[in-house]
Amino acid sequence: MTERRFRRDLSSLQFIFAFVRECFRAGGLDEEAAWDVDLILEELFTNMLRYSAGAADVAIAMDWTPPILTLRLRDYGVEPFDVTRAAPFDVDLPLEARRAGGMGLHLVRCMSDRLDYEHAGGTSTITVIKRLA
Amino acid sequence: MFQIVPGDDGRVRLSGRFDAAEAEQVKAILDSLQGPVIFDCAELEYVSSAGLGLLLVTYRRLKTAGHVLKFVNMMPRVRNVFTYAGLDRVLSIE
Repeated sequence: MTERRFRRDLSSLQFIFAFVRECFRAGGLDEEAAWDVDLILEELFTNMLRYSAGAADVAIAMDWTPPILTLRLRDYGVEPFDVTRAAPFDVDLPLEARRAGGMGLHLVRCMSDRLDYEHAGGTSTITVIKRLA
Repeated sequence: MFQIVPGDDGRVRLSGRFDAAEAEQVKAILDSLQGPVIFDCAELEYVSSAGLGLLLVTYRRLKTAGHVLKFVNMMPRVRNVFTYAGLDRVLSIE
C-alpha cells in the first residue's frame, strides 16, 4: 500500500486529490475512475473532521491489485464512529424534507463495493473496496 | 479550483471542482442569486455532498420565492452524483 498523511483541514483536499492522481498514474489506471475515488475520500475525510475530535494527521493509503482498488483511512486518537452504522439516507423524501446530512456516506456506499470499519487502540480504520473494470 | 460566474441573463456558469473546501466562499455567491436561474454545468467537473447541499438550499430558497432553477449541460459523471443522491427526481435537470 502507498500511504500518505494529511493535516486535519479542508485545505488538505487538494493534496488528497493529487495523491489519488499520483497513485492512478503509477498503477496505469483509467483516470476517469479517479473522480469517484476523489469523492469517496473527500466524504470520508470530511466526516472524520466533522465527527472525530482527533488532533493527529489522517493517514490515507491506496493499493491496486487488479481488479480491486483498496482505500484505507486511519484516524488516530479518536472515539469510535462507525460509518457503516450510519442511518440510511432516504433518496425518496420530497424536496422540502431533504437534508444534506447523511448524503455523503450514502454517496460513498453507492460508489463502493464494500465499506468496513474497525476501531482499536484509539484508532479508527475505514477500508473501502472498489472494483474497477 | 471552483468558479461560479453569474451572467446578466440569469445563466450562472459553474466550473471546476465544487468540493467542501470551496463551499464557504461559494455560499455567499449562491445566497446572493435571485431567480430565475439556469446553472450551466458544462465545465463542472466534480461535485461532492458539500456542493449538493448548497445547491439544494439555493433551489429551495428560489422555489419558495416563486422562481425556477434549472441545471443544464451536466457531464455524465456529475449527473451520476445527482442521481445517486436522488436529486435527479426532484431538481430540474436538462
